[in-house]
Parts: sequence; C-alpha cells; structure tokens
Amino acid sequence: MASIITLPITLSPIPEGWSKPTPPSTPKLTPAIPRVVYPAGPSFVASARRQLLQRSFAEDDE
Amino acid sequence: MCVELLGSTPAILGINFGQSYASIAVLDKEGHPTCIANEDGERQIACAIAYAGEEVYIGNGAKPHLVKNGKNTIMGFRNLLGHTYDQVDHTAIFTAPLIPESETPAYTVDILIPPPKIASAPGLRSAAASGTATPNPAALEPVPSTKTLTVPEVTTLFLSTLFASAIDFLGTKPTACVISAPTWFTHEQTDALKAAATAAGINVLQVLDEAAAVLVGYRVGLSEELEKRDKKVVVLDMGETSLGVSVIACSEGEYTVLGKGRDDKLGGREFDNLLLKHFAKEFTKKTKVPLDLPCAEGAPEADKRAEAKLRLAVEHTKRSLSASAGAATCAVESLKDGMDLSTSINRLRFDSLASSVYRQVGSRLTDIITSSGLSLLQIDEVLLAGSSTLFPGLQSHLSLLVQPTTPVTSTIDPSEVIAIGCALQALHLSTLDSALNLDEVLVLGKNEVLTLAKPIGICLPQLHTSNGDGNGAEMVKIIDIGAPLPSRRRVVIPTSGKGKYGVEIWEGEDEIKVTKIEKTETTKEKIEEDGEDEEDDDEEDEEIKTVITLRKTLLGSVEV
Ligand SMILES: Nc1ncnc2c1ncn2[C@@H]1O[C@H](COP(=O)(O)OP(=O)(O)OP(=O)(O)O)[C@@H](O)[C@H]1O
Ligand SMILES: [Mg+2]
Repeated sequence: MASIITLPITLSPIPEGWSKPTPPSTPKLTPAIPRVVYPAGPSFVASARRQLLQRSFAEDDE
Repeated sequence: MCVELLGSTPAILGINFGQSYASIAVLDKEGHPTCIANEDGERQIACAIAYAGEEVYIGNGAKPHLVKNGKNTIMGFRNLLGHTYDQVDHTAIFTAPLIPESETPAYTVDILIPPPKIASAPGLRSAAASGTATPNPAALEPVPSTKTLTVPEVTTLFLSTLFASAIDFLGTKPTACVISAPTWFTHEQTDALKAAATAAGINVLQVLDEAAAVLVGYRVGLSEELEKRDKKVVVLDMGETSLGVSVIACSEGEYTVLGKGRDDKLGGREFDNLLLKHFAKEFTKKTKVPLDLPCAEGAPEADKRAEAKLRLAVEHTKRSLSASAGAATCAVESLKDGMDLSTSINRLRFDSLASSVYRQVGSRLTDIITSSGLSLLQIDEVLLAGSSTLFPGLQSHLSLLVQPTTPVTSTIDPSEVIAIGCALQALHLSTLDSALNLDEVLVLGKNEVLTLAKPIGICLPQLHTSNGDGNGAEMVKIIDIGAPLPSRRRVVIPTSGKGKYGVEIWEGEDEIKVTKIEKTETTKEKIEEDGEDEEDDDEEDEEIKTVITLRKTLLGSVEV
C-alpha cells in the first residue's frame, strides 16, 4: 500500500483572476527513459504482481 | 514456493560471495536477518582453498599457506567464473597458477593420496592376507599425486562449505538462497555462478547485484519512519580489489539505476601496499636489511616471501586500525634474513598515509555521480558496503565531501550488509503471492523499464501563470526522475480558508541555488574551534547551495 505524503505547502482558495490554465493540446512530458530497475525488494515484487496479474494500483491495494 | 519453517522463521540463506571474502546471513529466531560466523568463528570468510598434503584448508585457515605453499593455494577465483583461459589475466604471484591446457580456467595442485585403509574387520583381513604377515611399508605411505580443479569446481567446493556452515547454524538445510555477484558481472558470469552454487546443493532463487543487495538490506524507501520515499542514493562498495559506485533513484522502494562505475585498481589492496611500504622502510631502517615492498616482478625469493608474510600480518593491522584510534600492531617473525618485525601504527599516521587513497575514492565518487547526470548536492544518502569502507578516516573524508545533510551511512556493518540484503531478498522471493511464478517475476528484471525523465510536481495557482509559460517559479516535487512508469503518488495538501481550490501539475527541472550568507562573529569563532585546516576560507562569506525544482512545462491543472 502506497504511503500518503503531506506536502509542505498550504492551499489557499483560488486568487481572484486565476483561470484554470490549459496545457498545450499535445502533452509535452519529456519522453520516458529506459533504465535498469533492480529486481529486488518488496516494491519490485509488488510491481511485478501488478504487471503479471494485470492489476491496477487500486486493485492491488485490496 | 514452499519454505521450510524454523519455528515461524523460514530457513533461508543469503550469501555475499566476494573476490576475497564471503559472508553468510540467515534469519534469526525473531526473523531478523543476521550475519553468522562459521565453525571457526569467522564472519568474513576468506575465499581461499589450500591443498597441503592430505589436508584441504578452506577459508581463513587457507591463507597462511600462501607463504610456503602458495602454488597449492587457490584464491581470486570468483572473478574468473564464466570466462575462458584466454580472457583472463594469468599472472599469479603467490597463488596457484592457472594451467594453460584448460579452456575453462583451472588449477593443478599437489596432493597426497592417503594410503588405502587397512581393513580392520577380521573377516576381511583373513580374506586378503595369505599368511604373509609382513605388510609392505611403502603401501602405508600417502602417494604424491596431483588434482586439477576448474574455477567452477573450486567455486562449488567453496560454496558448499558456506552452505555447510549455514546448515550447522540453522540445524536444517536452508531451502532458499540468494547469492550476490558484482554489479559488473556479465550474464555468462552470473549463469556460471548460479550453476556452481546449484552444484553445491544450494537452491539459488536469484543471483543478485551487490548494490541491489545493499539497498534491500537497508530497506531504502520502505522504513516506517519519516524517511523520504523518493531519494537519490549512492551505494559505495570498496572491497579488496575494486571500488564500485552505483547511483540509484529510489522511488517508493523501487530501485532504478541512474548510473554506475567501477575502479578495479582501487580497493583494500591499496591500503595494504601503503602499509607494506611503510613497514618495510621501517624494517630496513632498524635492521639494515634491505627490503623494498611491494615487490617488483623479478624480486628475490626472500623478498617475495617477506611480502607474503607481511600481507597476512597487515590484514590484522588494518582491522585494529578501523576498530580503534590507538596503536595497531604488526608483528612478523623472521620477516627477512632471520630478522623480526615488531611495530605499530596509529590511526592518525595511517590516515595521513592513506589520504591519497581517500581522495581518489572521493573523486571517483564525484565523477560517477556527475556522469550519471547528477550533482553531488542532489544525493540524499551514501550507503557504504565492502570492508574497506570500515576505516573511519575514509568515512569522514566522504562525509566532508557530500552535503552536511547527506548521511554517509554504515549503520549496518559494511562487511555484512550484502549478505544481510541477500537473506532479506531470499525472504521476499520465497514469500511470493501464490498466484505468482518466481521465474516470471524475475524475468521482468531482465529488461529495461521506462522511467521518468524529469521530475513532476505541483504548483499553487499564481496569477501570472498562463498556458505553460511560467518558467522560473519553484514547484513542489512529487515524483522524481527514475520512477518506473506507471507510478502513483498520493499526497495530502493542507488547505486554509474557504472557497474553490486549484492546483497545477508541472514537469520541472532541478537547479542549484546558491545563497551567500555573511559570516557572523559566532560562526567564525565556531570554525576556528572546529579545525585549523579551514583557516584560509575564514574571511570569505559562506555559500549555501541547495537544490530547488523549477517548473518548466505545464502538464495539467485541476479545480475543485
Ligand atoms: N575491519 C576492517 N577494516 C579495514 N579493512 C578491512 C577490515 N576487514 C576487512 N578489510 C579489508 O577489506 C577487504 C575485503 O573487503 P570485501 O570483503 O568487501 O571484499 P570483496 O568483496 O571480497 O572484494 P572485491 O569487492 O574487491 O571483489 C580486504 O582488503 C580486507 O583486508
Ligand atoms: Mg565486494
């Protein structure tokens, strides 16, 4: 089960004049990089379980 | 997977198989991984096998044979696994040489075959003896012979003694084992190691990268405490023959390799050489017997023998040096020309001898981090492994190199952490969900995985923000680079006031912020107390460098 982290910021109500910004229609996330992930530790096992049993994060939490 | 239980604790085994030393760990009665000693009380077990007549010595007891019986003493075999004779270095200075006839690296040692046992059963005797009561005395002598062993066979023999020690300790056969291999082992080498261990009767679930074993041993990113879940960690492993540095992104307990490097000239051997040189000089000064160590290739036999003796002795000196600041002794009877060496060195003197090696380790660390695309400032923690990192002088050198807030951690003994990590990993793999198949799980580790290239975070709504053009503002990082995709993060954002809320999701980039602060009188005084070597920058203002994340590309926004 993933942890829940409390961020070190406080959210105030939207300032007047702010309008929800729209990101460019094509998402500009920098392309992901293939890297080695060690097949080690409980989190790797959990990720393998989600992949092999085709579970989402939420399904795997149960 | 079925695991035999010892009470409630599974009988599992972790093996750290080094080039020079091995160690083993099991789960104790409470289920905690612990490094155990073999029958001779050793936790660091030398990877050495000596054939001496009818006897075979395995472990630390084999090393003294280097002095008089070097050609029958096998060491340094691990790194040869999975290689052919032509691929490896054949220069053996003190130890058994590789034989050129064998394609798989192999050794031929002298042995004595014990004489056939005289049957003591009366029935047999009467059958064999035909009245001639005089036994042939030659038949009772052991027969000189030779024995050829390949590197995989040597490995199997050695690992089987480790296995036997574990069985002895647990009182039962470990049913599952994870064994470590160097970060740079090839697939052939890993396979050869697995095969050799299997031949020793060990059920090897996985051959695990040493750096991964350290991360698992420390449970990086998984502790219940307030540890950062996403952090950049360096595993620095200094053993006998080499230094390995692995730069890892830990993403909620998943370990992504951002970069790694190795220096195969920088190991504990360097410290040995410094001590050898130092003590040999001192010996010559006291006794007038010339001795220049370490020996050059064509050095006289007496010098080589002296070197072999002194190498064994400085092993103890090093251990005393890392254990206490006081005088560490070094004594060798009849080092050369019948003269003894009996001397000592304290930590202060050693640290000054070793400072150049410390600096080299530090600069390799910095280089490897830089070539991984990071700055030293971005590293959250350095984890130490390998017994040569036990020197406090080296540890404090590294601590001064990294940020004051970056711990250089050795809370799990660096000589034990790899074995402990292997034992924990064996536990993780032997308690898989019953719907999972171990091979299928491990296959997933063989291919690269898509990981996040740049950090993703949150920005609070600001008026000047519009349509992705808001570079320069800071964001709160939520997922860091290296996170395997898909990833999930769950965060809580405290709120104040009433109304509608909005957040923006951005991709960002780490940047280094330099803040100058003028030194106040009190900090100046403090530095003077702390040490003299900092005197020259006394006048300058202090610079504080911190890593901040600036937003670069708007990815999305929400309003609730
Ligand atoms: N207490 C100690 N203090 C300092 N050095 C030590 C200590 N114990 C062992 N060493 C040294 O550490 C080295 C062995 O470290 P380690 O067991 O990590 O190496 P290894 O994994 O077998 O070798 P490598 O990683 O180079 O292939 C040897 O040089 C040994 O002399
Ligand atoms: Mg090692």
